[in-house]
Amino acid sequence: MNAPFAVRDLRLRYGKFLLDVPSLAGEPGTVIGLVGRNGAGKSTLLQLLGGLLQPDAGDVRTFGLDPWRDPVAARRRVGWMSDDMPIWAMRLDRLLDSLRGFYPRWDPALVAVLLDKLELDPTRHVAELSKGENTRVRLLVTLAFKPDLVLLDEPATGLDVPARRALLDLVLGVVRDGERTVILASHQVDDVERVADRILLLEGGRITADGTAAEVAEGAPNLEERLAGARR
Amino acid sequence: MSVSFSTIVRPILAVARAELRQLAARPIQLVGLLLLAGTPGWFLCFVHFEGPADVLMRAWPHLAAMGLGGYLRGMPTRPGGGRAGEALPGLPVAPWQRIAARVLVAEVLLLGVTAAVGLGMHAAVGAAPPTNPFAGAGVAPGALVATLAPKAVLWAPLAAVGASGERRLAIERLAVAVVVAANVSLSRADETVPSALYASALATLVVVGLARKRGRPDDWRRRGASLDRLSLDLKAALAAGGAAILALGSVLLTEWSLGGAPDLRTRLYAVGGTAAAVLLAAPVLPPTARGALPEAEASFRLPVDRLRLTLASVGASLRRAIALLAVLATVVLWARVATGPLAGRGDLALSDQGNISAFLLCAAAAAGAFASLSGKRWGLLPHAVGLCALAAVLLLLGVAFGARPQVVWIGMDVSLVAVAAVAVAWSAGWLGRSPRALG
Repeated sequence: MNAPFAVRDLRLRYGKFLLDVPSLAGEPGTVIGLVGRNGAGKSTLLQLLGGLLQPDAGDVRTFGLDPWRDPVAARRRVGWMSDDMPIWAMRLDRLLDSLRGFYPRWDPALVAVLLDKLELDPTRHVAELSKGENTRVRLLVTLAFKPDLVLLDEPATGLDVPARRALLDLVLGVVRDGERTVILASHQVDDVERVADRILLLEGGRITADGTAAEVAEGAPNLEERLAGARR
Repeated sequence: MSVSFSTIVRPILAVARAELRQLAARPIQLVGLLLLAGTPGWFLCFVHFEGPADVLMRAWPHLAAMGLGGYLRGMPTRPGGGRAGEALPGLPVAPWQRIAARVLVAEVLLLGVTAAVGLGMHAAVGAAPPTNPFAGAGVAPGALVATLAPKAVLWAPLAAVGASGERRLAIERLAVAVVVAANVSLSRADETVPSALYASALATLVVVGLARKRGRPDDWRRRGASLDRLSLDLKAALAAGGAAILALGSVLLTEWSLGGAPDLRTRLYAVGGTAAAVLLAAPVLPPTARGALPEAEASFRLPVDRLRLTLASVGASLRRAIALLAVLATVVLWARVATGPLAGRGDLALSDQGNISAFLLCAAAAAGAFASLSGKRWGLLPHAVGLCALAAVLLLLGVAFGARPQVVWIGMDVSLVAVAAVAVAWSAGWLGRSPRALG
């Protein structure tokens, strides 16, 4: 069985920034936290895994597929969500109806459950939604087709602490079944620490620590302090 | 790479469906698009009145192709710079499939509207639709080329998938150049003067467009160096002059190639059309700033820049007034045709040509005006089309007050060329961004 994701000799340059990941792989059923300061390369790495960016060199695979060259097959198993992800401006029920055509595994029953849990009114227009509701819509769209790999890029920015926790708990409630893999990139270190089985620390485009929260903290009082001393 | 119906066709249909849904959710844009798509169909119905055959074969809707080409350009296609701007990033769809879906939508709109109008016009006069849709279409080689050529503009974004920046622009401009060449062919195969005029306007824009060192006003503003800007201004002015000569020459050559010496009207067409094209090309010369040029800079600039400033400073309220006038004029003209004996076209107050031009102008102006009112993402198009509409309205007023038909013909055709030129320029991205709201 193919690993949820595997990266080898990955390089991508943006001006002076260089993302350089010699090797990285994920196991099914794990929640991986991706932490690092602004500009460390968290979003870039997620976008490469989601097939949204093409690497300059190296190999990226999700479930054995190249997400850049084979976006249709690869993305059908990968849910990608970011806080600034644009959404088509239309009524929510029509949006969901439009999206289901893309995913053979779209699950209407799960959509109904998520609509209820996320307290979203399907008759409302996306443009009328608040920031928090928009975030919940993105989450719904990301989870509705039961992705095997979920990439969450700052999924809960702008939400207060209880809302953030509720959101993450909901995500984990849906995807934590021992088979699905989640990568969560976030500045909210306490969130990551709370839910992640494994944490990757990115500094200057390189993964400088990979392990549990305690292992990544490396002698610092906690993960947050370790991150405060990290390079960009 | 997995290849199956599910991975190839299904995503295209899903995107097309979502596109149509999005259009339906934006009725103003949809109306504008349909006006643009349908206008050439109406044009042909009125000119030749041989039904959908003409619509399909004689002159595949140039304006619509251009306008829809602009619509297609709204798709983000650049893998090199990431897929930023991709609506709902992460959807299981390849860039080429997104473009293919837009082409599908565009073709459906184009065919649907033109065929519906053509058949409707037949029904209105009680004539049977042609059993052979190509009967009587006059499939001369030149006409055929001209028929297919605007497709180049329509499909250029598809060809440009994967290309980035300059290369993509080059592909799109090449497509426009193909249209120019085809229109010259058309001018040999069919009506001489209007076609040659059209060709001249297109040639003008292509030359002016190619003279630009960098692709877009935004790029230009980023570059910013004033010395560079001046040198590009000079280049652009020279290019405009060269284009004018080229345009005039194309008209005269076309006329001579058909064995006749150009008469006074032809010369007037050539001069007027070229002037209009150059005038309209002016706002798209390099440092187009959409009103953002500082006053102090303006005094150092060539006259063409002052013209740009003037164009760019046309206010929203004036545009709205023009939009209303254009819509009103369109409605009045349509009403006149609808209530008059169509087959006997001579009953109309204007000549056929004047009528057609007026229809085309007003519809295009209305589309531009709708676009103007529906958002700010359409660059200079509303300004330019608004000015054309103003010209049309003034000419219609001239008719109302008894101006001679010849004057109206010429004025209308000059304005028509101007609108065509604007449509091409817009399609090629020289008037700022195409509508990206749907992307």
